[in-house]
Amino acid sequence: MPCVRILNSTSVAGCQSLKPASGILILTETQELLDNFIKSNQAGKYVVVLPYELMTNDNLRSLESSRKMSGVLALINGTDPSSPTSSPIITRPTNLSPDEKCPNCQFDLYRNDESRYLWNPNGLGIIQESYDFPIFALYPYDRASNRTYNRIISGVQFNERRAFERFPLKTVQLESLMFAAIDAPTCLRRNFCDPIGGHSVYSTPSIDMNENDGKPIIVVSAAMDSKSLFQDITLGVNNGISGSIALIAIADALSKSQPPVKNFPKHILFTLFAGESWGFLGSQRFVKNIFEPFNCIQNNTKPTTSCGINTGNFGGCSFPCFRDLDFKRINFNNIDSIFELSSVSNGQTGVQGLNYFVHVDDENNVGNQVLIQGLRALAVGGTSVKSASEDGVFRKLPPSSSMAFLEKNRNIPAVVISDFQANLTNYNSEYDDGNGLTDADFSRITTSICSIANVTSQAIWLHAQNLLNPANPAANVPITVNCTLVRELLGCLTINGTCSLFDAFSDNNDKRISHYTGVFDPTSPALLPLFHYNVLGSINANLTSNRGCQDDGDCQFGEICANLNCTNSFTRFHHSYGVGLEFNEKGEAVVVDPEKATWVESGWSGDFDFQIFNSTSTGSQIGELLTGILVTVLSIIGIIFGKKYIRKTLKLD
Amino acid sequence: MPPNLSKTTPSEILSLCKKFFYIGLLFLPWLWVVNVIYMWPLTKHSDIGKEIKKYLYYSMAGALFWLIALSTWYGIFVNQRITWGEFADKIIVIPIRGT
Repeated sequence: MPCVRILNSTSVAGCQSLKPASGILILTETQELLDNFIKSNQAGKYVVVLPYELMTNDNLRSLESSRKMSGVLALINGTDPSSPTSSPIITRPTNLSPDEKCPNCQFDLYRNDESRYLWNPNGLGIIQESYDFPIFALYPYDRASNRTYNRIISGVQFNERRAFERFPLKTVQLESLMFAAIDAPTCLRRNFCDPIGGHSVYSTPSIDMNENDGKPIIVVSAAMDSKSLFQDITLGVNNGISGSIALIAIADALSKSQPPVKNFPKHILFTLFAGESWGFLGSQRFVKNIFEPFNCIQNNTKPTTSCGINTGNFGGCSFPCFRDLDFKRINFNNIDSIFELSSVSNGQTGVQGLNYFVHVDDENNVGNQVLIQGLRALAVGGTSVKSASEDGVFRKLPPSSSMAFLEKNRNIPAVVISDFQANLTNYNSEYDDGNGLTDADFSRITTSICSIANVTSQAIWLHAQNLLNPANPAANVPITVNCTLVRELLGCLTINGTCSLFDAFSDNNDKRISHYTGVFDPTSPALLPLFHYNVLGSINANLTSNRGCQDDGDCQFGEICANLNCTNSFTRFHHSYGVGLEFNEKGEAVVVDPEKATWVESGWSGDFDFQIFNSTSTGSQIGELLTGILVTVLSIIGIIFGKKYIRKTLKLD
Repeated sequence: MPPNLSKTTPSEILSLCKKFFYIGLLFLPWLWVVNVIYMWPLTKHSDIGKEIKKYLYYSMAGALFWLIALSTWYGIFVNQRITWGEFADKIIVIPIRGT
């Protein structure tokens, strides 16, 4: 599992190896061992197995300049394969993030502020660095990755037994040629990279919502995916999954309300954004589209090469390329308030019950105060919801989708609900994997998500009826979240990817679902948005017909295909890619605003190559070469003399 | 091996050498190199040697000119490719991966 090359309008991040890199396997478990290795005058090239905790930029740069390192294998977890019962080779850090100390700060609401709060102070800051050597991850979780891990660690132990002196030694060759170089405009022009992004999903029970109905809109928002240095192992249980599950649980709870929520004085709009970890591209793209006036320049009802969407099916547009134009039914000026579910799976960290925090941009905004106090009043039993600034420090908003909305109107009441008060934990990290997801972890996380989803759903239910009154919290709100659904969703979206919720629309065989954002493909939504589209589509269904379908094209205009049935539901995909990028009339992505998110991912060829073999010492390699040359020279001489001899004996001359 | 004088007449060989040189003018520097290597042993020939030598020197100069021109272009292109940006990408036949 390699680290991939990522580019934006001005810079390059991630890894690149132009040539296959090979080196003798060596493990440096501690900083001391690593320093000794860097200082030592050991000859030869090494592939260094490095515990993830030691993968600081300083260490990687010193390894690079030592000229002894040809590649790095990041040891993320694992036990010693020779004695499976022994303790792991490395201890799992409690908080480790490869992301920056201030993640995505150049793209957020406070980008021009002079001093700002750092939400991720322990961030290693390696995710935005560019390394010109291969880095692969060792993260055993299934049969194939376990096999690789065992072979590597056995190789390391073999070399240790031979003290790195007695050849042959185990050598590994890594290959990961990334096509893209220089920056996003260059690689897009050369067609060597694709925009990072995907499909956001929005859904509302208000089937008749339109831009002129004047009804206020409550936005309930969460991020659907995550990122980390090694994309394939990204899970994002806390950052990504927990918020999106809470959002679905809330939608499900509200769908059972009597009277139905679509008759309430306010609309409720659920938004699940794709690619938030990449400069908030999902929320910024969505807000840009619903905020700015939209003109369809060209409309062909048939798919074109530049826009492979059958716009006739959904009333979309060929240029600019849109699947449908229903986002125009959402009037930005009608947005009443925002409830955002950030990471909510670690409510149960301390000794006392479940604790959650509400973050706002402006403490003096009356709307914010009402929402904070309303949530606080509704949190009963073992659950407590507090203002994040209750400790006297006002930190404004953590990285969140609400910022995109506030960018256009700073006065919208917006609350970001999270399990953290001051610091992000395992943010955009390979360690945001639910700690291995044992049964105990499942129960703990389910309880945490369920409790806050319960409080939030009740607050939204009241607020949608203008009944959220902190002074007089309504008792017995008839809204309860289904914790069994939360548990099921948690399984489906993490390590039980073959669960029945996928059956309707995907023949997914991977048990583990990667939550890496991926690259934008306008015509086919990835597994994760498809999942949310089907789940939210059926929860917010106004009417489910008995007509079966395979995809939206099989249904009548305005209907969607949710869980294999044509359904009358205002649930839509929304294209998501960096707001600094746009597609031109030929369907090519170009950078239009280098200040905004312009992330693209490099292409590469086929599978990443990886081999282990025995290698001999440099001395004997030179010996072999010389012997080879000698043999060649001797054969040539032999042939020349042989020819002369034969000619002589046969008297041909 | 040079053309066999016992089988071909000197005038034929000379005209061959001239042809090699003139065809080489059509941007075929390798032909000049072949000409030089192929014909060089005949420069010692008393009859046509002098004349052949003249054309071989021309061929050599031409090949040398191409060598210098192409290696200069190669140097400039490799070093300036990134700076030229879009123009460089347009004149590349097979896109270069990774750099």
